[in-house]
Amino acid sequence: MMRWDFLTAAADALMVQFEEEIDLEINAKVHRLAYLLNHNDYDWVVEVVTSYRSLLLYYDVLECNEAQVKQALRPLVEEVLAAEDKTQSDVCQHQIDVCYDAELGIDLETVAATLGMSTDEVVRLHTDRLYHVYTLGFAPGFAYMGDVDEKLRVARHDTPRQKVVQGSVAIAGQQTALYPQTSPGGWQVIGRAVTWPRLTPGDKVQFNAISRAEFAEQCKAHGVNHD
Amino acid sequence: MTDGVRIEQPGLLATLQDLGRFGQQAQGVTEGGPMDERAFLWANRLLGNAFDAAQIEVTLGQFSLTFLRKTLFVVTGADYPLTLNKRPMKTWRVNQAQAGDTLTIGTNDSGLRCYVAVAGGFSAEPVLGSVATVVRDRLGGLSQQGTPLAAGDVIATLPSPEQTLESRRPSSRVMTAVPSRPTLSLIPAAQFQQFNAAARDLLVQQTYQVTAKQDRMGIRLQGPQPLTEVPGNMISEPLPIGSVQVPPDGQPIVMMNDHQTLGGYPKIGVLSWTARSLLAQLPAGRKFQFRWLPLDEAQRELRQVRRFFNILR
Repeated sequence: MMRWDFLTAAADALMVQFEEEIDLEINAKVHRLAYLLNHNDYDWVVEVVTSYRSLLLYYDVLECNEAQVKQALRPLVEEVLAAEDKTQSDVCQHQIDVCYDAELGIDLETVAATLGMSTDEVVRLHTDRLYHVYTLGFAPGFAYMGDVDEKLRVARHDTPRQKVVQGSVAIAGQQTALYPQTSPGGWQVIGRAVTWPRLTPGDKVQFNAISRAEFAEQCKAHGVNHD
Repeated sequence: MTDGVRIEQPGLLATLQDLGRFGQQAQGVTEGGPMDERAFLWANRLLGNAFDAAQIEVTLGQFSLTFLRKTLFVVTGADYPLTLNKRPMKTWRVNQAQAGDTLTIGTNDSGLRCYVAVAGGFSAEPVLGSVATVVRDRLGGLSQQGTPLAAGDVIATLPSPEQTLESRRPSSRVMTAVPSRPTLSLIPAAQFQQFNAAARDLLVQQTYQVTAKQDRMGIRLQGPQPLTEVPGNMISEPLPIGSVQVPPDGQPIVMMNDHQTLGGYPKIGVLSWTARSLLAQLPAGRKFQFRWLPLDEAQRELRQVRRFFNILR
């Protein structure tokens, strides 16, 4: 059985940690546990925050102490660990249109050169699979997705850019992301999207390549000024 | 709802804050809220407001506003010099202002932040359930875009029951001043077990000081000796407010209200509720000690706080 642990996180917060790996199966356990905690009307659950292999639970200190929370959590964790994770039916799938144009994906050509492949091959590898939303963080709505094809893994910039434009789609190592707001950022930008859904941890995302003309059309339709 | 106050001079940074934006850290949305939560809660209590009624957090004083209607108000937090139409007033005491009166807040080294609260509380359109201003996330505040308050901004106040002026203040047993050499209580938490005994001891034995590298996101500390054999970087995990992260240089960083929702540095502990409010008031260079506080004592404190201020979450 998968190893796991409790850690005190604060006077009103407890962390559940599974094995220390960025791994789809481990992350699925985290989201399954979050689901159980969020959908069972436990009066001691205040807020649940998930990450790759960790779940932070804020609990109501007026209702219980840490020992009681651990006691209530243990069977839930065991249930999640025992479950065969075929429960993908409630997973939300999204399609996001991305224009992989070198003017918008400002690192596209460098990434292709670094990896010794054509930009078309970069696009093919990036759009070829369904990504899993591991966690949200860094900034509101910033989703860490994976896993990027092993052939497409590049390091982030040594010095982050001061400004990565809103809608930028970027890669770094095993992960890919979309910048929901213009912000500083150190990932390799390979394309840009006009619109995107609100993502939740556990969701699945497929990127579709669109042409520069389609991109311009979408910008017009959504009143986006993409400069 | 009526126009309540007009900002004349915002000082270095003045932001609208309620208790914070809760329930959305899973979406990457941080809490925001008052850095000195204790002073904030006291201000609402003294005015008979809801515990989370919005106030103005003023950083380093040098602030003034004009009241646009008659209202009860209080200023808590740092003990800055206050005047209402040039007449000196006391902090932590409920006062009455008439329409047209100007409140001026000066500055001194008694702390970093004060809270201006009015009866009923300030009103703004909430974003994701809160008016808390988080500049980095561009959320909340009067503009709903996370911008700080600016000269000329007019903030509405919510109606409050007609109240008579009784100079309400906390009991004299309540500490309103920041001690000159504070002790901050720290709960062993997160990766505490992965730090070696020498590091855990050193943290509470040596004297730390607050550095100038601090904002609403985090506060960097400096100790004479860095903690050594710091555990390596981890897979990023959620972190609560008050977490004491130790980056590879061995000098702790305390995560405050506008912290990122995920962090990859190991954490040796988390500040108690009182300690967090105290730290929010310590100017750069101020020395302090840490002490370890068992979890059950920290929980007892939190329960008392929740009950005393009637906090529902």
